[in-house]
Amino acid sequence: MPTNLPQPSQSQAHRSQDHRAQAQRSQDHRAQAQRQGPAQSKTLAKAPTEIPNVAAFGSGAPIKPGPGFNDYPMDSQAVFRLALEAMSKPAQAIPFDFGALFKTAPPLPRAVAALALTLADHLTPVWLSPSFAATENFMVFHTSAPIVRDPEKAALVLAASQSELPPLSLLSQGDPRYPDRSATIVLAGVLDDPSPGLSLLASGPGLAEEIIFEGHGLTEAFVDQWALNRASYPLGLDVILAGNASLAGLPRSLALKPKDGRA
Amino acid sequence: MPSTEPVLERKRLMRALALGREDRLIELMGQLGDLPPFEYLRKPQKGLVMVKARADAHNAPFNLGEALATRCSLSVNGNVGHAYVLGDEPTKCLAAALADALAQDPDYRPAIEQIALALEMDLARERAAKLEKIQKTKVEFFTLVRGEDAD
Repeated sequence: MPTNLPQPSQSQAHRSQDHRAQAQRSQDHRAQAQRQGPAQSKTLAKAPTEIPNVAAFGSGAPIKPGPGFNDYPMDSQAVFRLALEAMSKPAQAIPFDFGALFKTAPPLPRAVAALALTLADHLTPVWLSPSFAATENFMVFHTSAPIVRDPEKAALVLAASQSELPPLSLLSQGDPRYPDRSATIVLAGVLDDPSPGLSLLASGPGLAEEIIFEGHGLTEAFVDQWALNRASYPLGLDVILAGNASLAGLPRSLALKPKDGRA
Repeated sequence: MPSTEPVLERKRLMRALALGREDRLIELMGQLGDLPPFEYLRKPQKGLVMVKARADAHNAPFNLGEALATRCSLSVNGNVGHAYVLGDEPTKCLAAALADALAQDPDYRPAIEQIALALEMDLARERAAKLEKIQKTKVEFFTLVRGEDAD
């Protein structure tokens, strides 16, 4: 790379960290790091560092597209593998470090952004829940996915919380000849919800015996809808719960019932 | 993206940046001095694009073949620059995207326009030189002496 082009600000940060780690360095290397210092801190100060609250994304103004994965092919494959694991070991939080995927925080919660960039392409109509609506530019830039206003037409539904999720029966259930054409839901705000919520018993393919699933943010209404969803097998929706540092899959084959034995 | 600038202007600018020669582009960009830091939105990545062609203005387009292209997007102080260039040209693509982003900054706009104009001039000169070279080999069939008139 020719020297007269500036380096990307993020790799500047990386390089100057290397400089710090290696104490014995020549004078001009140190001078270079110093010269890059102010510019680098300015850029880093501007970049959002933490996602404070999902609801903060609903401010309405469109967000300019920011950077996506650090390494698109490797990262998207890692996340795809993770999603497969979550779906094959249902109702269990599978840990994953989403922070390592993005140098700059994406406008969506990291796990949601990671799944969206992995699963969506130009043939995947995406529906964004109101809190995520302002991130349309980010989605379109990185995935070319068509953004639909009508949740029925979506193949991928990104919802910030259960209260923003459309009724499951409204979403695409798939075709009897092509059950795979149903919608996949990525639901944030459930896995890390600190409220006590429901204790559920989960069973189905992928589970040798019934396990307890702490569906913190899930409501009884969701559990009732889920029973209907399962009854329509092989049609039905698949849900991936996106936490801060884990995913949990709720495939359509999964049975959920309240632990207290309510029918 | 909503923009106040006329579409044709940016299109012309991006065309010049994408078609210009890499060494020239980098030389001219280097003359701008220290440039502000940028953030990659999409690192230079190469891929194939389908080139469509038409045999005639009223014929249906057909797929001529695939061409290798490089694309890159980055942001400088919130201005997003894009570049698509033919071939495996990550450095040129980066420079072109950077120039496109800087062109949206009023401070840099005149300088980038000068660069684009210089590249356009180069392209015109190259084209003229090529035409001249071809012109020499043009055969004027009607001046050839026909066999039966030779004796």
